Amino acid sequence: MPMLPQETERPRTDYEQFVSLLTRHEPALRRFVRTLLPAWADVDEVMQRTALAAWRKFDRFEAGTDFIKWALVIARFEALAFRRAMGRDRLVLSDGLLELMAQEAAEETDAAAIEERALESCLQKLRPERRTLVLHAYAQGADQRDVAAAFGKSPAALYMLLCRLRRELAMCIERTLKQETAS
Amino acid sequence: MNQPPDPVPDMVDRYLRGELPADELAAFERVLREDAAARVCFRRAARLDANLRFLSEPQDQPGFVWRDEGGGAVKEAVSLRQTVSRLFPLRWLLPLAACFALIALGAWTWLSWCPVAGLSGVHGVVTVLRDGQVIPGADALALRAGDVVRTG
Repeated sequence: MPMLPQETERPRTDYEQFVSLLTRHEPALRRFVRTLLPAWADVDEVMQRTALAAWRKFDRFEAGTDFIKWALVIARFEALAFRRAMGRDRLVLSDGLLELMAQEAAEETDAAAIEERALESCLQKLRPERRTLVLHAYAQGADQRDVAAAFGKSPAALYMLLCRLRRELAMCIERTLKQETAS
Repeated sequence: MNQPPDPVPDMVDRYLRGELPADELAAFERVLREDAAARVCFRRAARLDANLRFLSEPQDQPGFVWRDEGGGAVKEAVSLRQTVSRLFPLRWLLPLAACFALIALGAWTWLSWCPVAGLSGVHGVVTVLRDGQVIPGADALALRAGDVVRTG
């Protein structure tokens, strides 16, 4: 059976602790990487690289300290390295701006988690067919033409509808966060 | 007089879809560099995008699949989301019931058809009846459940 890199040299408890931490913080890491790269395929690739790099360096992680802060530093490095390796053939922002975005995004991890909960509540407020449509359109590997056909729409109509729903959801999240802050 | 629409949300949307053309990228970058509010708008949109994708994933899918780039080996997925166990606390019940059913079927088949004993060297002394009929010759040496053995 294939082994994790260096798994045989590490105690099983290390492995379990790492998996537990990584699983818990995966959504936050993914949100962070998404702010740095425009293509989902690149985000998935950088997430893989981040997970592997974090495991290789896990013996340097101090138990009891903030795992997400530690992992964000690795994700930031991996995203920037990936972007440089890809060269200029992709339409991405410059290194300097990405550094600035990464720095600001790393300070917003708590707000991002609250936004995720607010989004769940906002999705529940959508009409069921709209909610289903949004979730289908965002599913990994979803072909927008197939989604449009499945919902009886043209690709252009689906695009416009998704834009509108995204804005509705964004406004709903903002309202929810304001209400939470006020209460 | 109406204000022109803010172009930032639209540019952010198109950038995140990978649809912002090269000739607009420089302008987009300049706006982001100079305007902190535009960066906040951008990060919120990216997070919304990521959160929608996360919520649209089947919750029993692994978040990561290990890959050892050196050896080319692939390791099993390491993260199974806890929602699976919350949603399906009795998910083991069906396989368990199927196991019991298979075991019961096997036992019944074995008891019905498997020879349970062998007789040798007693022809002419012992008669074997199966379903009321006498079993002749070698067949009588393989008894089955339900067979009646008469001696004498």
